[in-house]
Amino acid sequence: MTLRDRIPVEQLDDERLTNIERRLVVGVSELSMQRARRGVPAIWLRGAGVLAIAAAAVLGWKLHAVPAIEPPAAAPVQHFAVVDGSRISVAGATLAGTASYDVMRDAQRVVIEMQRGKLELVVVHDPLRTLVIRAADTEIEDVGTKFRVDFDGANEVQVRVTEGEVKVTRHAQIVRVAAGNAWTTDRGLLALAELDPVVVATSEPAPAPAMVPVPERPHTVEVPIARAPHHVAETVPVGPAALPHREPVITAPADPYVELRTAIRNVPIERAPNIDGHTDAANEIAKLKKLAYSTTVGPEASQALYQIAVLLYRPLGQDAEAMHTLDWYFRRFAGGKEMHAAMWLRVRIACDHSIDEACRRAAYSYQHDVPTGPASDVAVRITNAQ
Amino acid sequence: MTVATAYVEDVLLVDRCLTGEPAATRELFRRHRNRVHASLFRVLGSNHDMDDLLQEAFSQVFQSLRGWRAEASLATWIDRVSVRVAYRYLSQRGRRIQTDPLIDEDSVPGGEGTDDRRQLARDGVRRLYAVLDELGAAARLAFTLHEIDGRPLAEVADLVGSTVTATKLRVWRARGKVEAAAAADPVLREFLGAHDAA
Repeated sequence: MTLRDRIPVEQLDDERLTNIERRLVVGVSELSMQRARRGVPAIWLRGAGVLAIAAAAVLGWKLHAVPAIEPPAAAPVQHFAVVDGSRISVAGATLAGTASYDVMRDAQRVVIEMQRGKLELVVVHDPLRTLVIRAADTEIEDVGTKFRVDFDGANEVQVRVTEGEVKVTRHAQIVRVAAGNAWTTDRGLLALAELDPVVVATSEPAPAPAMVPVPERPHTVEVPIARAPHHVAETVPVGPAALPHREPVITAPADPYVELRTAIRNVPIERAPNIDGHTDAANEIAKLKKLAYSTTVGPEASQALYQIAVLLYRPLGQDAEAMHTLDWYFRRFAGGKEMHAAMWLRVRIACDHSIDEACRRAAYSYQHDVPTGPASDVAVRITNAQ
Repeated sequence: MTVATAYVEDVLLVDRCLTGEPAATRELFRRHRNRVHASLFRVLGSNHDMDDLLQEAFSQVFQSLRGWRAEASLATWIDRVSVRVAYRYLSQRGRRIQTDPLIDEDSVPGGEGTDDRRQLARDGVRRLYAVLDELGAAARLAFTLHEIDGRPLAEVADLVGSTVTATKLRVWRARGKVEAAAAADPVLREFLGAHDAA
C-alpha cells in the first residue's frame, strides 16, 4: 500500500491565507507588546523594593544606639580621615575603616575619592543616585551592595564584594564584580577566596594624616546629600585613633559556594592566543564582527563569534550581551568546534552572580554534552548544589 | 541556494522575527505555509478548521521562536511544532474528524479518466479517512505522515517525538486496520488496489 502523492491537497484560497497572515502579524506584535508590558511592573516592583530597603536602612541607622554627631554643613567637597571604629553615613552609604578620602556630591552622584586606606561600605542602591569610589585611576560603582576597597595610595587597588555587585572601571575597561568575587589591579577578577587575607594585611596603609580629636568612643557622622554648592574642601576629622583595633563593622556573610565558585573559576575560558582583549577589546570586537557576521558559516566565523562573547564577558563585563552572543552562536554554529568552550562560557556567565536555577541549567547542559573532564566535574557539582 | 546559504538565511530571518519585524513574520509564514498546510491536510483529510490550525501552528512557532537553537533546520522545527498542534487537535476532537468531499475533481488521481473513476477516487479517499478517524491520534499521525505525506519513518519518529520502533509499530497496526477495512469494503479495496496498480 503506497499512498504517497495520491491524496490531492486542496489549496486554501488567497483570501484565507491573507487573513491568517494578518492575524499572525497582529498576534506577533501583540506578543511583543505584552513582553514589553510585562517588564514594566517588574521595574516598578524592583524600585519599590529598593525604596523599602532604603527606608528600612535609614530607620535602622536612626534607631542605632551610637549617638550621632551633628553633621557638618553640606558641601560639594568634604575631606574625611577616619580610623577603625568610626562610621560615616553618606547619602545612603555607610563607610567604615581606616582611610583618607574626599566626598564630592550632587543630587545624582556621590564620588568618594580615596587617598589611601581601607574602606568598607554598605550601600543601599539608589537608582537616582550613583555612588562611585575612586582610587587612583580605578573607579568602583556600587550596584547595591556590601563591599570593601583597599588602596595603598599609589596604584594597588583591591575590591572585595560580599553582597550584591559593583562595577569597576579602569582604563576604559569595565568589570562587574559580583558577591563572592574580588578584583585587583594586578590580578583582575578572581574569587574572594583566592585573595589571600595576609596580602591585604601587608598592604596596610600608612596612618591617615590629620587624625585629630579623639572622641571617647566610636561614633557615626551622618552627612546629608549636598544641596548648597558653596563650601569647598572642608575637613571633617573624626575617629578614635587611640582605641584598640576593632573588628571591621561589616563582616562578610559566609558564602556557601566559595569553594564551588573557586572551582568554577579554576576552569579557564578558552580564548584565541592572538586575542589580547586587555588593550582594546572594543576594537577587537569590531574586527571580529566583520568575520562573524559575514554570510559564511566557516570556522573563522564561528571562532570570531565565540571570541566576541569571550571579550564581552571579560574584560568588558557585559554579561547580558555575552549571553546574547552565545545564543546566536548556538543557533548558527551548533556543533561548531568551539561548542564545548561556548557551553562552558555560558556556565561561567550564568554562575557568575549566583548559583541559581539558570546557572544549574547551564551546568546541566554542559555535563550532558561533555560528560567527562574537569569542567564537567565542576558542572556536576553545580547541578547538585543545593 | 546551497544548504549553508539557506541555513544562514533561516538564522537571519529568525533574528529579524525576534525583533518583532512584521515583514519578517510575513516572510517566514509565506516560506513555510504551503508545506505545513499540505502536511496538515494529509493528516486530517480536509480543510475543516484548517485556518485555525494553521494559525495556531504558526502562532506557536512565533511564540517559541526564541527556543529554536538551530540544532534542526527551521523547516523541521516548524514541522515538529505543526505536528504537535495536529496531535492536540486530534486528541481534543476525539476520533471524529469531519472529512470534506474533494472539490477539485480534476486533481484527483485518475481524474482524467471517466466519471466512474473520479467518483471511485473521491469515495475511496473519503472511506480511507473514515477508517483513519477510528485510529488514535498517535497512530493516525504516524500513518499519514509516513504513508501519505511520504516522510521516512525516522523523520516521522522525530516529528512525533517517539522512537523509530514505536512509530513503525503504529504504522504497521494502522495499515492492518486499513487493509481489514478494505477487505470488507469493495470501494476502498478498489481504491487502494487502483493505487497499488498505479
